[in-house]
Amino acid sequence: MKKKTVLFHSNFCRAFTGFGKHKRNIMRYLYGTGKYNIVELANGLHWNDAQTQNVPWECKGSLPDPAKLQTLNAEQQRAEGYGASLVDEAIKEFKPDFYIGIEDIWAFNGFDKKPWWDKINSMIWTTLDSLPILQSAIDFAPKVKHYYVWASFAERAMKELGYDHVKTLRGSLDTSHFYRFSDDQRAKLREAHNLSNQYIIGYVFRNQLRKSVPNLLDGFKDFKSKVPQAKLLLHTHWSEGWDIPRMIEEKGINSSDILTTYVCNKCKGYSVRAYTGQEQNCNFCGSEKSQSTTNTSTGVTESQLNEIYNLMDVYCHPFTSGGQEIPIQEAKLTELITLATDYSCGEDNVTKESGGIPLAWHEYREPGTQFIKASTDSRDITEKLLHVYNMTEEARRFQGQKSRQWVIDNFSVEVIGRRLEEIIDNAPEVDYDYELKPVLLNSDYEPKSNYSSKEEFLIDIYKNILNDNVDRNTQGFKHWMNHLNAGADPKGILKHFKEIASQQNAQQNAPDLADLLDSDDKGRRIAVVLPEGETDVFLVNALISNLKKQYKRYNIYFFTKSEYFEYIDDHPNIHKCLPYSPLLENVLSLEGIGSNEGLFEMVFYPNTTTQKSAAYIHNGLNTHQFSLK
Amino acid sequence: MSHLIEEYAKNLGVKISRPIINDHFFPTVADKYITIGSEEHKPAKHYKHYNIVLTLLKPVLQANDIKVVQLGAGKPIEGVHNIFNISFKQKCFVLSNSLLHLGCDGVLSHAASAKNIPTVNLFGNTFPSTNRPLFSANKLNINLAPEWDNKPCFNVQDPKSEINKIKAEDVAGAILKLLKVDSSINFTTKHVGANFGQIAVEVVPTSFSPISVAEGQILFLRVDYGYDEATFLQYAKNHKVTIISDKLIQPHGLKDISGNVTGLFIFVDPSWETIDESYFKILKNWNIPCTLLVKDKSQLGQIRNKYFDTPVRLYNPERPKVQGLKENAQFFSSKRLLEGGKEYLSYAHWKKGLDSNNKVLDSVDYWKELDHFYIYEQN
Repeated sequence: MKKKTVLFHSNFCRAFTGFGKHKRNIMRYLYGTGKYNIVELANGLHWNDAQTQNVPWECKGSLPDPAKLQTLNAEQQRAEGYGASLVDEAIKEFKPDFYIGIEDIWAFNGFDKKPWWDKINSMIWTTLDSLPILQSAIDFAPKVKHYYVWASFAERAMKELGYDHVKTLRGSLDTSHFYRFSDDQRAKLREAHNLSNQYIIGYVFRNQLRKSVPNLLDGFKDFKSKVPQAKLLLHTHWSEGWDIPRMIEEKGINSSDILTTYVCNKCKGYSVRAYTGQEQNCNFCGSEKSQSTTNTSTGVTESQLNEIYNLMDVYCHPFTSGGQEIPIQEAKLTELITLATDYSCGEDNVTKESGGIPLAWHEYREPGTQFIKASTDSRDITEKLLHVYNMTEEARRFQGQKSRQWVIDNFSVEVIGRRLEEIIDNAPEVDYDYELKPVLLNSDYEPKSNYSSKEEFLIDIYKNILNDNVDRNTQGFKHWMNHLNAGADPKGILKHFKEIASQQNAQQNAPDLADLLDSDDKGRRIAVVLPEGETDVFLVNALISNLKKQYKRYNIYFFTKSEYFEYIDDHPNIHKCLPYSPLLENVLSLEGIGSNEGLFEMVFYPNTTTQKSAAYIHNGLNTHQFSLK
Repeated sequence: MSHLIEEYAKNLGVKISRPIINDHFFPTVADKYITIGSEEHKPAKHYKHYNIVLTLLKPVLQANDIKVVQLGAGKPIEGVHNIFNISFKQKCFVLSNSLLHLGCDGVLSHAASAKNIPTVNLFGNTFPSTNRPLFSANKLNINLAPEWDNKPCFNVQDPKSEINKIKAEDVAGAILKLLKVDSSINFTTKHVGANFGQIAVEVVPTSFSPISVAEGQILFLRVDYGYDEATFLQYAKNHKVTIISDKLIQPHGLKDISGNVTGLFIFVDPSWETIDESYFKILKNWNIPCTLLVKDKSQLGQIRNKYFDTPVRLYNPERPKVQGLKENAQFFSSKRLLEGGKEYLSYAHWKKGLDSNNKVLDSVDYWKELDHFYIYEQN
């Protein structure tokens, strides 16, 4: 049996992001089995980025080259950031049996329309964080056979919608990095940080607004009044997200009771202490202004983070919603009792088996999306902290050990890796016996005359005209059902679907610029690009004869919006008048740069100092020394 | 008509005249000299073969008592007599009395041209027509561009470093032509390695012998070629060193010299027991970057997966030999391999005991180091 080729598509495996770390764990595990050809497609890197060279497997970046990116609008650039185009190149080059996309669901927008999507084993492994489930995640459900989410609340919600094939497959953790130190080691560590007699409540998080810092501060303040030796350790960056110092002051908390982690960008040493501002002098290496709170560019190592967990007595993680919240599992691995908001992925972490303790919350709705979000009850934070504080040492240890085992059983690379192996091994091999050309839609489809219901009619024309698998939960389906129920004529909807199919086919078939140019004038082409303006085009018309006189051997191609063709297309020296596209606004790409040989010898943009930047007016005062007539 | 100044002239609507700069006096020693403007800080314009050019010109320059003045900061070019890191206006003064200016395209070539000083101009990231000197007659300027792979990069960074494709003999020939010296260059470039110009000094630590190297130059201690502990320590205490070893050097062996160790490369073999993570941590704490090396490509993936957080590289993959070389082909090497007071230009020469020898050797070991060589032929 041949080795299956598995293409992983996500953040680069060396990126310090949740997706990056997870991808790295899983790929290393599968590579180590020796059973598969592993290929990586890394978001955020260019196709042949130097970083792709130093990984064990074949790796390519999914980001187009900067020159191409410059020519795209913001929406297109965002899509390319997730590999919208280069994923096709990767499929073509590596011919995977299995595609595994690990990203937020919107990263896969349009992937189901790709010619390879249904031909190979495609899998989406995504994080969903709120209820109701994001509509685009629901829309994807009928279109992907292997659909995995990171948290069981999302699986349950999808099942309620009838998608039984959606399953939970958690983000993997390298459990070897996090463990509880011996009591002796813990005591020494705390002593080193002057925390011997303190009771430390910890929270490890990226300082984002979805982390419920105000609620935690309120709960801590109350707890502190009952347990005076309490300190709150906020392992986060204090120069983004919440303005923590201001909030501490506002709530009347003694700032020395709130600790944080400082990291030196020179020696990489860390210290845990009260916040005194950024760019502090390092107390280890003596460097000036080198210590700041931990952040994405200068953070602690996994082993240092393990020490930080070992400084804590209890771990508290209040949040509005989240995909997996890895620090909760890391804290459990160090045998801490963890408190987490009982919503979203938090639900998994506060079950009895998990050894975690649920924090009560109040519902609020996110403006715009209307997602349910959780505001954690600060009184419950106090109560649960007191509950843990009053537990016996034995009870805490027992629950801590149970928590650790739960994480190992449910999140370890080996457990998740083995499940993934089963999924891949049970999938069929793929024969690349088809052409990777865009799928054409069927504008000629004639629906049958008798449908049992309006629903059946809509699902049928979606499937057979737009090649789109939809069901009753799909947004588009709901939209058109509303129209039908409101009395819209099915023939009108059918006509609209056919028009969309024709338009999309026309776009798919749109020729490349190179196809519009003559084949026999390579090396003697001039482009004049002037997108608009009847006056502007007409005035430039008056320059074309001399342009031709100046470059007799060359063919002049004129690019403008089609509505301005008439102002210039009769000129005998215009070789071809072609429609303007923003893609033409890249002179180096058209004239050639580096290994790109370009399409034209010369490209002129006469509107550079008139329309793009009105730099010719000069109050009507400027003169010149040229004889221009 | 795409010269920069013509674009500016069109924009301002005026004709081109001459720039006006008031030179600032700067004392020069020589009566007759040529100037070189080195643009080390702009990688795409940094020509690495000026030293070879000067080597080729040396007899002519000596015979005519012409000195060479380097204008600008940066490393001294081998063969120059004076380096003047001075202001632009002082440079203009120095240019005024120069017999010729050599450099890449830019302000110094335009300034020289404005003074009717002959110029030889090297182009690395743009076409000569866009920035050639044009204040003086064309016959006073020779513009040399490489054979572009396709198009110039139009950037300060050139991944292909195309300027270095301009052959040293072409530059030297252009200088002779403009100096109107009746002489020819007996030299044909056959190959320029991608890393040629990056000086690497390797030492086999078997017996100590004082080494004269530029300040800050790092020695590569080739423990894999030979090893004597006392000698090894002596070199490491006296120089900044990078160690290349085929054995695992225990951390205590590095402790006393850790301040001088700038890197450690270790050849690993899959048969080895796993190197403990603590080993790499200790090195990291001492600020010693560690890289693992693999000789067999088929083992690369496996070793990379095993030591995922440590860089793992394939060592000296085989290179195709340069075809069609004459028997008398010679080479410059940016690599020196030293042992016991003797100097070798390549590992292959060291292996055969050929010190002070610059003849090309046709062996696998020799071609593996091709990236460091500049191969040429002379009649």
